[in-house]
Amino acid sequence: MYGWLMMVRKDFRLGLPWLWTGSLFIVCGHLSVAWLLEGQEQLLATLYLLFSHLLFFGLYLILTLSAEAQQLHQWLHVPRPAWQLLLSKIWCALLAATLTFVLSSLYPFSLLVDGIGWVTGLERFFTAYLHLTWFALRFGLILMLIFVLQTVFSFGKGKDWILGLSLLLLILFVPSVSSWILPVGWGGWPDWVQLFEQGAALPLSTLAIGGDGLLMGACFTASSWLLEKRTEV
Amino acid sequence: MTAWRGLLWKDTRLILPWFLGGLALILLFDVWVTLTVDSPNARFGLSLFPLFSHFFYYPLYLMITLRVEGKQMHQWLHNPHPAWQLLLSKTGIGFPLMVFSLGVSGLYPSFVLITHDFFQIHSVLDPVSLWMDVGSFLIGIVGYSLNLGIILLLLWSIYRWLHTWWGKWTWVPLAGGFIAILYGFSQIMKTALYDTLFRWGATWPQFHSIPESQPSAPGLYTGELLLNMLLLALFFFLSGRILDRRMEV
Repeated sequence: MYGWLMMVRKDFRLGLPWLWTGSLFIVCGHLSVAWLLEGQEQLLATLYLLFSHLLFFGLYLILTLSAEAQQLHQWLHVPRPAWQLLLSKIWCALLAATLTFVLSSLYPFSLLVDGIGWVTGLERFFTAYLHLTWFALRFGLILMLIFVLQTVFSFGKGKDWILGLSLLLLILFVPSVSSWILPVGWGGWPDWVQLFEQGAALPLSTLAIGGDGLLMGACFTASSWLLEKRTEV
Repeated sequence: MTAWRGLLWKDTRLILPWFLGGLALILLFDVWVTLTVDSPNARFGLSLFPLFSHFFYYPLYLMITLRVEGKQMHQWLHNPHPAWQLLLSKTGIGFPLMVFSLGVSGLYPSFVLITHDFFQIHSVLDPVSLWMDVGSFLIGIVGYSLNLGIILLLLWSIYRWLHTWWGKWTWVPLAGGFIAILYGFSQIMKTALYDTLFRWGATWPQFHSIPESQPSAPGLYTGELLLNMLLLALFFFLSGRILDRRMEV
C-alpha cells in the first residue's frame, strides 16, 4: 500500500506543471472576466470555464500517460501490476480535476450565492460536480483504452488506423446497444438551465450508474490487461 | 519567398498530427452524443461544446507548436529568417486550421438544428436572424481565440527571455505582471478618455434572433476593434523582437 501511495505521489508530481498552468489559467480567466465583462456575460463566461471540466479529466489523463509513453520501459519496469499503475494515474487525474473544479467554482458561486443562498448554491454546485465528474470519468476511461490500444498496436504508424477507428466506433457503440437491450436510463443528463436557475438537477438513476460503472470497469480491465500482457517495450 | 513557403510546409507537417487528433476528438464527441443522448435539445446543447472549445483552439495550437520548437530552440533560431517571419509562419498556419476545425464542429449542431424542426418548436426564433447571430458568434470565437493566442505568444517570448535569470520561478513575475497589466487596462477602460478615444462607430448589435433579449448597448465599436488590431500587431512584433534580440539558446 505504501509503495502504491508513493507511486501516486510521483504521478501527482509529474502532472503538477499542468495543474499549476491550468490553475493559473483559471485565475487569470476569472480576473479577466471580473475586470473586463459586466452583468450576465460574467456568469456565462465563468460557467464556461466550469463546463470545460467535461474534458479536463480526459485531457489530463492522456497528457500524463503520454509523458509515460515516452519512457514506457521505465514505467512498466515498476514492480506493480498494470491496473495499479493505471489506477494511480486515474486517481491523480481525478484529484487534479476536483481541485480545478473547486477553483473554477469560486467565482461563479460568489456571483450566484446572493440570489440562491449558500445551501442551495452548494447543493447545485455539488450536483454539477457529480454530473461533470461522472461524464468525465466515462469519457476519460474510453480515451485511456484508446491510448493503451494505440500503444500496444502502434496505430497510426501504418494502415492499421482503420482497425483502430473501427474499434473506437465499436467502443462508442456499446452504450448505445446496451440502452436498447437493458432497461436502464443511460446518461441521465442534468438540465443545466434548471440546475442553475430554477431548481435541482435531474438525478442520475442508480441503474444508469450501474450500467456506466460496468462500461468503465470493462474499459479499465481491458486497458490493464492489454498493458500487462500485450505491451512490448 | 520559396524558403518561407518551405517553412510554412514544415510548420504544417509539425502540427498535422495534433490537428487531425483534434478533428478526431470532435468527431468522437459528436458520435458519442448521437449514440447516448436521446433528446434533440440536449443533443444540440451538448454538440455546441466542441464549438465553444474553439475559444482555446488558437492559444492551444500556438502553445503546442512553440513547445515543440522550444525543445530544439537552437535549431529553430538557426533558421536564417528573421524571428517575425518564423512566428508569422506559425500564426499564419494556425488561422486556417482553426477555421476549418470550427467548420467541422459546426456541422453536427447545424444538422441537429435543421433535422429536428427546431424553428417550429421554438417559434420565437427567426431563422435568418439566428443564422446571422451564429455568424457573429463564430467570428467572435475566432476573434477571442486570436487575441488570447497572440497574448500567450508574447507571454511565452517573455518567459523564454526571463528564464535565463529567473529559472523555474519565471512564472511568478510573469503572472504578476500580466495580472497587473490586466487590472490597469480594465481601469483605463472605465475612463471617459477611453470612451472618447475608442468607443465610436457603434456596430454589431447582439442576438437579434431573440426579440426580448436585444441589448440597448452595441456589442462592439469600430474604434475598439482598431485598437485591438493595433495591440495584436504590437504584441506580435514585440514577440518577434524579443525572440530576435533577447533570446539566449
